[in-house]
Amino acid sequence: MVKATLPLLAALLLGACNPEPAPLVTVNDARVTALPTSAAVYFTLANSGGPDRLLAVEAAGVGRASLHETSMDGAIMRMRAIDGGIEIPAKGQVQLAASGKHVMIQDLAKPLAPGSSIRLTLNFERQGNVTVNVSVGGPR
Amino acid sequence: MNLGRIRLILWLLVGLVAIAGLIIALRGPPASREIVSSQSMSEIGGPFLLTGSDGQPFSSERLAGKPYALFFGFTHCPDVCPTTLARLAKLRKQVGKGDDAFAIVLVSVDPERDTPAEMARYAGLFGTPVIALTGSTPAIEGIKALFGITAEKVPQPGADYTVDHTATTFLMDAQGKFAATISPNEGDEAALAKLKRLTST
Repeated sequence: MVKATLPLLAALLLGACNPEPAPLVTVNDARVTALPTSAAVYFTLANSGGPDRLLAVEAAGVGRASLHETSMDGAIMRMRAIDGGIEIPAKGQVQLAASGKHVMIQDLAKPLAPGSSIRLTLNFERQGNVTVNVSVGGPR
Repeated sequence: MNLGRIRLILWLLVGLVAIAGLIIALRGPPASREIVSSQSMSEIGGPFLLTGSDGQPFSSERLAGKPYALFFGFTHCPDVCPTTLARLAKLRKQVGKGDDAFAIVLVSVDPERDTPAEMARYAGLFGTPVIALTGSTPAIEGIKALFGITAEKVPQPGADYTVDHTATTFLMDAQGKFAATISPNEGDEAALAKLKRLTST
């Protein structure tokens, strides 16, 4: 409950006293790598407005989607859920790419078929929900 | 310069050294996270017995006579593992000596979930032959020690887990001897040069 209301409260407060211009984030080059039990979604967020933050993702009917980040610690690969979302600076770009930040989809309802597409909803702190079509491809 | 000022400068120096010492102490030994820290290069690898994606025992003897690139991963890994395998597949094409130039070997670090059938499904995604091996937990522990890698389960939100693991690719020659490594943050050009060297004899 507290978890759910805090971002909302933060968003309201930000909206009330933030003089920044409205964000205008577009989602480009979205693709999802289909694997038997999980999938990774990559895209570029291009912002032509004020700052925003990608808080959460949802892939309804596809599987459990969450924001993840792969990082290298010496030679060791670690993957963790991203807490607090992904910041998108004003007039900035953020890339979700292999071996870095990505959307992970677990518990796939059924294997993704290359050539098809899935719908992914991105929840931004200020801009709200944006739903995009993501084309399914093999690993590369 | 009077004595007071010299004393001040000396104390400042003592302070600086103390701070530097503290920083070094807090960072810990820098080499502790490197692979091959406890093993010399020639000790990497050796004979192993795992389970093939057909469920049958797979002995390292079956790899003899041809170099191979061995990588540790797991099928619930959607990011680095497929990226690494897809890259090895691409580089093998670029070497230009066909799929027989060297074998691509994936070894699971998640024997609990990675059944031979799961490994077969995963390996089949790369459009090129990939030898996908799993095994009992002791067998996997054995090959981890053989290559001096670490892999540990890390719980995730939801009853799920991920496996943090060494993401180094090990290049072994036709005699099964260690030749080189490819790290994930190494450029394609350097990696290709190593694979060409590996397959040049």
